[in-house]
Amino acid sequence: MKEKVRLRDIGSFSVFVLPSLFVFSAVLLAPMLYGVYLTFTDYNPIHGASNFVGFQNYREALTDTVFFRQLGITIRYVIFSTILSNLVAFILAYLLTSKIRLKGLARTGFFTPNLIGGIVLGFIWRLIFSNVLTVLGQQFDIGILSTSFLTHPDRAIHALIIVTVWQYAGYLMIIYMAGFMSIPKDVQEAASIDRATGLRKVFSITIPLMVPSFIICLFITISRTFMTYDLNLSLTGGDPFGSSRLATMHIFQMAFQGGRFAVGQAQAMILFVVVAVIAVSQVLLAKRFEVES
Amino acid sequence: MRKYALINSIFKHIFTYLLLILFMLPFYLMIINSFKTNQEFITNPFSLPSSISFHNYIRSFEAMDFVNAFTNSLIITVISVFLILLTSAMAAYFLVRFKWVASKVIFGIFIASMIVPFQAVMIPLVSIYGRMELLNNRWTLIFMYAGFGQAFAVFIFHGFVKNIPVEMEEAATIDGCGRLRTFFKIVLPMLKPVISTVMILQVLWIWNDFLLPSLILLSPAQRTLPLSLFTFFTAFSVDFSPLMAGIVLTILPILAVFLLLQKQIVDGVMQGAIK
Amino acid sequence: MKKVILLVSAVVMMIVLLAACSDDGNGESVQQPGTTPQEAGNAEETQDTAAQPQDGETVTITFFNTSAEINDVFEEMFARYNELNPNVIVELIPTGIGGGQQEQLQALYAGGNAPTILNVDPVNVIEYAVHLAEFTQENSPWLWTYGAEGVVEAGTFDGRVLGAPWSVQGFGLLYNVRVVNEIFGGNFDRNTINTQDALRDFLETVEAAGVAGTLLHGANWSMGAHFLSLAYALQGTASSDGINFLYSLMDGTQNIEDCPIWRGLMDTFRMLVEHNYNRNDPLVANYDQDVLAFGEGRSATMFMGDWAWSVMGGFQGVDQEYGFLPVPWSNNPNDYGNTQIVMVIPKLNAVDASRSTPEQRQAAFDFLGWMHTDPEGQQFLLDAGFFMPFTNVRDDIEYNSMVQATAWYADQGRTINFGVFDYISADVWIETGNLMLQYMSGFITRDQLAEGINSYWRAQQ
Repeated sequence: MKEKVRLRDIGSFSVFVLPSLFVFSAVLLAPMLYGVYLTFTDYNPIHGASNFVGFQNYREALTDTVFFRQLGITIRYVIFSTILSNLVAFILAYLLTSKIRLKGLARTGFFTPNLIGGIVLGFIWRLIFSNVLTVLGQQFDIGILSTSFLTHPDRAIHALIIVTVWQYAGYLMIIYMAGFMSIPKDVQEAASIDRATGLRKVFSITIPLMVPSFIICLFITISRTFMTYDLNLSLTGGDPFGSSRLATMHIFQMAFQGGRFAVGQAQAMILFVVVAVIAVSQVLLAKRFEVES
Repeated sequence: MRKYALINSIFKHIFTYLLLILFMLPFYLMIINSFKTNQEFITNPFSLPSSISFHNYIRSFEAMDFVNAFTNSLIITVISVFLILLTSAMAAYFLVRFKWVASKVIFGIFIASMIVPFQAVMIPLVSIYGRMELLNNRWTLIFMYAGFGQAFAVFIFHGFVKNIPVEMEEAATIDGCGRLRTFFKIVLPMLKPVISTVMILQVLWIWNDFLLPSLILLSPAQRTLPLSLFTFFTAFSVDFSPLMAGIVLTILPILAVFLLLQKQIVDGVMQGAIK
Repeated sequence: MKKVILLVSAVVMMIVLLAACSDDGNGESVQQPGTTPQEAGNAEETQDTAAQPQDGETVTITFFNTSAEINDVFEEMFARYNELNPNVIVELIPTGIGGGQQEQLQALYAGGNAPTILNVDPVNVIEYAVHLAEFTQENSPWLWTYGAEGVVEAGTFDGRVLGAPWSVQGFGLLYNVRVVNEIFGGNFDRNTINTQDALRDFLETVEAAGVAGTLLHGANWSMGAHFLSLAYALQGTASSDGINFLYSLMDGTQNIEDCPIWRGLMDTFRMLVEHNYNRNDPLVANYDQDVLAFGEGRSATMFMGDWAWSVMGGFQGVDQEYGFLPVPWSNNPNDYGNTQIVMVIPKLNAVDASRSTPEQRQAAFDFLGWMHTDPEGQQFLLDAGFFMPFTNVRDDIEYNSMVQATAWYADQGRTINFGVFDYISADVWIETGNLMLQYMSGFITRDQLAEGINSYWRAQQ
């Protein structure tokens, strides 16, 4: 009998999970493993054939000081983007699930940034930073706005954060909204009867119940912002002089323009480990919080 | 108390609409500039068009071979998203319900893969599929999207399947439903709002994606909408006004999908399907 | 829910059918009538038809294009060629902008999908040399028959002819003829600007009249690939002079700051920066706006090449007459570079040998022959405003004023050989261009700039 059940479970496993696992492995896992193998060779897409070189690429990747400088910049960018975009998204979701007029329009409006692809988005914001804000700055004599955000080494990264927040907020809002809506009505009503109002209600009841949404959203923002490329390319292009070049962009330039593909690939693996450690510890930390609540 | 609520509500409205304007600004810029000439645009991107002319729209409609590109995009997006939703929802369901070690490991691998930048697998990917002579084929592209979409979809579904009470399924099992029927009759309907959410996000990604199709689809007849927008890129800049028109044409269909689905999300959740 | 699943399945089925149908239609889209250029040398003239497969078997060749600004010109050209040669289909592989081009080409090679024809920078031809087919007098006689002086050499690497150029471009200090004539009383002579002092007087006079002296486009490609590379090109009249200079920077036998040409050029650069139209915010680098500002006469000169016409030509109400000034680096008018402008071959066409069949290769050479040297093929590129280095180009072409300005120097042999450009990869101009921008905006000193350039080249093998 026991035997039979297990067989049946394996049967359902192959119906339920295998298709998913198969496409996933064929498209992502296999190339990924192949990619790891390539980091131990001197492979290069132009010449194809490769020789085994051991840890040579990792040695080179780890002695590339520029890479670590850019990684530092990237981490700063990720921290600010993650905190701010989740904050804004949470507020948006809160506003749009409360009593408010023209909800549908507003929901759509906040989401529109995501309809436009990263490359075009970058171009439009470039104009806003270089043409609108500077005109305002000169008109009203605001020093910080009188020259473009994008031409100053420190402020270019701020510009990147602003646009990232603006784009992701609408995206995350959708997920937070689903979280808000899934809070049972009776809990909310009970809270209202308890005269818990406004902010107190948010902090004591809503936030603890929303932990699963937070976990999802934080994971999405952390992993995606670490990989930001399109927007980086079209908004700042790494300018001025490489100060806003995020890790991914550095890797691609190394791999494809600098002709050192395997070293770039090795750095991609290092980046992967860094992000994995950060993202996983975030999830574990949050999970503990979930249990406590 | 009531007065306080009123002030609160007014404040909330003003705040929301102000934010909304901020969020819509680039979108607004795109619309007005799609009606201008390129020079009008460069001189002042924020002025209103001097006259409403659909010239750019006609031009980009023709230059993009819009009907053909639209059909290609539609086929690829619909089939890919359908495959992703079906396989990932089933996988997520199983991984939640069967607490095997293998389930945890598989889920862990899915999660980890979300952190892999696409460009890190890009060259190995085309090199493997190229050796199998599978490139330049839209079914390969669909297959790849199905693979790349899995992790994210499984991740989201996983979180929500957990919230579905097991009791309901047990009741169905007692009624004599097999696993598959239980899944399609009980679980899937309860996931409706999440399905809509995942669907929106996946449609958006596939519809707008440039890099992957640019590597897989080489023949002009197979071009998708984002690939057709290349016409307006120039060496050092972009032919803006027709590009804007082209993008408006490209995103209108997803806008429609979004409007349709967001109602689904909200309605579905309202019915209290979850928790 | 069942209904929903049924419905979705129905939609999917329908789309699968649709997909199957539209596959059949593929071939037709190519047969749209292209533009029909005027008097036309007919296709029959184009080379031996022997190589074309018999029995009407169709050969498809692909064309990887990094000249993104004329994607549409190529599409029209390919359609027309297919009308003339129904059994040859040329398919365009368009590229996005910027860095994406290199990734795309490498991915194509990695996937075994190498394009038949590459339209790429000379530096790429060197990178992909092992995969490329040689042009020979047998497979491409047109290159030797019609190529202008230096054309074959421009595509020769290690003794193998791997690339064919189809355009020549000039760059230097473009000037707005109307603005300059108004300021200098109608008889400005471009020959007078042949020393640094002359240029300084010129800039100061212009500024005194309330017009910005020059306009520098604050992008790393303009400052790195063009301005800084002048220092390499000016080492001597032969390509090897510049290239040897680069080697000496790499092995450390030469420091850039010890080179008088570089020092002189940087003095000139400082001067230009002081008179830059964009001096308040030099790094904004909006190409369209910069070209428009120059066309509207808000600056008298602009450091750019004749390709600026592709944007300028589309503007209304801008000036139409432009000329070139050299970028003098010393006070001796006889120094190389003080009376010349740069001639550069921006793109080469090459034919892949790694994945193509002999039929495809010959079809590719024949097509290139038509595109480069047949009057009808040439017309497409001439209409797009390119200056083509072939002896049989119609002599009644009305070029735009920027191309004419290039030709004016070319006719007198007052050109700077920019063969060193073949070694300026994207990585080079991004990195050293960024250093130039830092120097331009005052973030680093000239010593730091020199140090940065030295260490960049040392790190290259």
